Amino acid sequence: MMKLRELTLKETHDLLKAGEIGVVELTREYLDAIHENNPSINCYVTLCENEALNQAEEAQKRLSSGEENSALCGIPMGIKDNMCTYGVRTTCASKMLENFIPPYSSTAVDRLLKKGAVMLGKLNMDEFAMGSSTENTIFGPTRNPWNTEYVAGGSSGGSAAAVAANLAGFTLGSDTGGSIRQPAAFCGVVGLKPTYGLVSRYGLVAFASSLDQIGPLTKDVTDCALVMDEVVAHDPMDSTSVAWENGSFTEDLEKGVKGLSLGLPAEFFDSALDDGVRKAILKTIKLLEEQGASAQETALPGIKHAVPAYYLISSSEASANLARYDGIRYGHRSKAAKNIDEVYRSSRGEGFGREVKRRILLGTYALSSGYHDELYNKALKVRRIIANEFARAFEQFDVIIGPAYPTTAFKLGEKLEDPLKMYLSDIYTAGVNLAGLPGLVVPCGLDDKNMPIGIQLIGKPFSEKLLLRIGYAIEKAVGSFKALKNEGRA
Amino acid sequence: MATDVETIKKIAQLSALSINESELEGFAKDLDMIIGYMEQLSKLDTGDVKPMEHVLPLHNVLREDVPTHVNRREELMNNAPETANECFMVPSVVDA
Amino acid sequence: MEYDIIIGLEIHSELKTQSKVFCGCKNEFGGDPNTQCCPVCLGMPGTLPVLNKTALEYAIKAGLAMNCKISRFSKLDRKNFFYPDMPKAYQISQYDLPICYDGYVDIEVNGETKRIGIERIHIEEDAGKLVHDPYGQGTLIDYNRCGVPLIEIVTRPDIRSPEEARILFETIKSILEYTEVSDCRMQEGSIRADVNLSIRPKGTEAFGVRTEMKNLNSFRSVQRAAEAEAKRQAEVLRKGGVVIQETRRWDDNKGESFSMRGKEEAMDYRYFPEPDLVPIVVDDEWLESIKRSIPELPQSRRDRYINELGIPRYDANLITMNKRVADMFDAAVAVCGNAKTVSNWIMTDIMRRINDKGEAVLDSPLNGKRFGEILLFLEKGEITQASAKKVMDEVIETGAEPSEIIEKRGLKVQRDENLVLDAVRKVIQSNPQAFNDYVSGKEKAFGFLMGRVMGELKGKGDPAQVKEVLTRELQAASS
Repeated sequence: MMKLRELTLKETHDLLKAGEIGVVELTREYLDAIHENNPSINCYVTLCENEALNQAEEAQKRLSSGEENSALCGIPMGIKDNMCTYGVRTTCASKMLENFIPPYSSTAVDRLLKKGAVMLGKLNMDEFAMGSSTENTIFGPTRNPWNTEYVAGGSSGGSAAAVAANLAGFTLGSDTGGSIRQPAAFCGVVGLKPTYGLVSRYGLVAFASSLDQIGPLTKDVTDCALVMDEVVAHDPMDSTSVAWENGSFTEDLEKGVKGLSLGLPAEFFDSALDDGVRKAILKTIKLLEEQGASAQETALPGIKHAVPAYYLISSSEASANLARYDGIRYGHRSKAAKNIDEVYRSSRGEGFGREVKRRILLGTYALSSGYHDELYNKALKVRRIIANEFARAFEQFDVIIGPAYPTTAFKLGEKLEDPLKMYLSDIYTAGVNLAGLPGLVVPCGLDDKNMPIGIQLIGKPFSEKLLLRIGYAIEKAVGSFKALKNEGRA
Repeated sequence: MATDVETIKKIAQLSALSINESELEGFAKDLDMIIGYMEQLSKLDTGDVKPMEHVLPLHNVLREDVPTHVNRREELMNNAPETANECFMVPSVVDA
Repeated sequence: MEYDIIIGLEIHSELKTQSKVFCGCKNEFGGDPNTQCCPVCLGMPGTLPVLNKTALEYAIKAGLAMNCKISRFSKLDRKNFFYPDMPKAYQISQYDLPICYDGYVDIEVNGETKRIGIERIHIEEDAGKLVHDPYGQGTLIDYNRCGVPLIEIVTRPDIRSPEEARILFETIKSILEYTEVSDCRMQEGSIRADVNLSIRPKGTEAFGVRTEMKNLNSFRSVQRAAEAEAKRQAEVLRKGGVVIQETRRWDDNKGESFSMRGKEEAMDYRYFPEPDLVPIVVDDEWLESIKRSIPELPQSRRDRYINELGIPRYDANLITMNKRVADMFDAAVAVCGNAKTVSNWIMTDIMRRINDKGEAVLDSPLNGKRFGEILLFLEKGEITQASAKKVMDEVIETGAEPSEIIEKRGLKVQRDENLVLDAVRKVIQSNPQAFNDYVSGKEKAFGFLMGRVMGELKGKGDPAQVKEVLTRELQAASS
């Protein structure tokens, strides 16, 4: 018999609504599965068992009484551990916040909880969302459910792995330079980085404020649209939050791709791209062409500079955002500190991991007098050049299509020693954040090691419905995600 | 340009980070490599392009001046490593 | 060698909004430690600022009142530095695009008007408060003031004497009070000044090296600190030394300043645009509506007093300098009708009370209306000057209405011709020596007798009437 937790969010909702299954039963199945499988995957870092069961009972009442009809009511979810959750520790996978229990919730999580979603626990990540492999974490690396010798990607590795391993109905991740899309691609799940401003950042522990964006990781495209329907809303607590006035994210899913134009930037298909990934992407584009879309090569020459611009801007902002961790009001305080200067320096020195320190140093350097213009300011100019190039491309194409990452998942430990090499691989994702655009990753195939490949769709601001519509067509064309996954595991 | 150990010490001071002697060398090497790479930007002619701080064309997002206050001191101070007399506490600050 | 003194002020003033600048916490002085805080002003992870519209409008209002240009496009920036009173380790401030710039303030120095340039006014957030733990070994932090909206007013180095510095500080405080953007309660630290000072040999052009003295919170300390620093710098130069660019702390008790060297070493604030806040765009319509909300400013009020009410310039200047005093003046004139009487009484009685006891008198029950009522009784000759003072004391003390006090204490002038006549006759009879002196032409004796009669009438006699009756009776008795 099929396990409940293998169902998509939509399928689960239909059964819950029909009264064929109960929320508590469903939640217990997920919790049992987490107990069984988390030790090998290590996606959850905090489990909220009692709270989840209480929420499940409450959700069941609201469903049964018809008080709540949201597709998310009663659906077990997991939350990346950089979103504040009232009364539940929020660590950012850092020693700095190992014991931090927020007295407030992030708006995004709050919205989902109010709709009756059940929070199973908090998910592993790279410390303060800095990294591409979920190896920079005090909790030990998250492993890829497809093959535990491989990384899950990062920084939302826990969020992607939990969905791939059916340990959550859906999850939330955050994406500053690819942190939803790359792990989604590595784990064979759907991941969406929304247009900057669509999902409130209030309560999302800031990495780089002008780039950070929360988004869903789901089992399929329909689920992604359903989560977007609930998580997107204007938030007066976030000055950069915007209102969505384009209707339900689900309504265009089945409209097909006929007549749509796809741009393939040459820079996304250069020699850095792994052959297996290239083949799968091109094959998928062919399938879309067969359904009436047109594909054409284009150029985004500025993208070459996306990685340095991204790292300079994100590290600069991070150097300020992470300055508040000083061991005074919350967070790690060095036991050895004898004076105020040592409280600062030692608490931060002990509380932050190596990659975080590296970025703080880089960002501080880029903002310091003498380098501010040459590095930080220059990066902001390059950012505009890249945004303008994308804008011009969208005059010609409905979407930009290409890979999310040059390779499929790599092995644990493989890239840890070479930070620059790790950074360079963000080439296909970072530009999207710089320009504030939406980017959707959908699984589209497997490589010769049977690891998933994701295809990335990039649209103009607020074009999420169009991306989901094409994503849905891809899903239908390459076969459903579950079939693909079975193929992988066979 | 070179980010040597001295530069790292200076930036570490500015960012209030203690860095072990044993790590200094490694950070200097990493940063030298990374910043060396980033410097490709400085060679780029960006002409009269304006810096882009925000991607959204938003302006004047303002709050009405209405207090929404509730006293939550206890909750807000729960995470503090050291407190006394309803205050956060740190070792003596000479200048206070 | 003689030196010129060059001074520029940086004045920080808290804005009297209802809530803090980036969150909904109350903006209120006092309160138990850390009870006026929330996750946002404590800089807790993931929290975000949203700018208070009124705080922004107050900053613009202050700028307009100081003849500034208003930036049509402005933004907020992060100023990065570590200090325990600053929870985010950056202060949200404004760097290259302040909301107001390029203005001026006119000050009155020795009867002459002098114009001091205002370089910029920007908006920022206040910090928390550090207090030494009296029992323990640490420093305690209260973040109640953290996130209170501030404006920083930066003047051009146009000030040429410590006295001018003090007068400029007084004048700016008065403008902020008039525009009602700040309470300027100095004892609460809601307005404070940093003094930047350098000296140069008279007749030379180039500025010398300047020092900065921070957080001076009284007019007197601004002047004293500037005097002492100018003297110190001159001393250094005379001895062949060089002035070091540094921040110094003024100790008002000791009357000297101390170097804070080592505290501020190589500050690199790494300003960059605050990504959590969007730019500010001020259009014509908004600007006009703020302009319309500005009340009459001290200068035009002073000119009005001089030209329309005939108040002497010196008096008008002093009265209008403090908005609450000027408001008291207006209210009193409205009741009493004689502006000169009110002005005289303010210049003597009220100013003396302010000098003796601070501005407490302005918060007392002796408001402009009651003050005016007392002066009206005086004007109509119904009470004497001495009684007027007594009534004022009692109003301040008890809050009773002047008419009640006059009634209860029987302070009304005694005009009953018979009673006055009785008193006069009694005094003449019982003071034969004085009477004889008067008759023999000693004018002084009249004053003596006059005083006796007033005493007989328990101070309630109408001096004019007493004088008239006394003169008549003396003449009658001596002829």
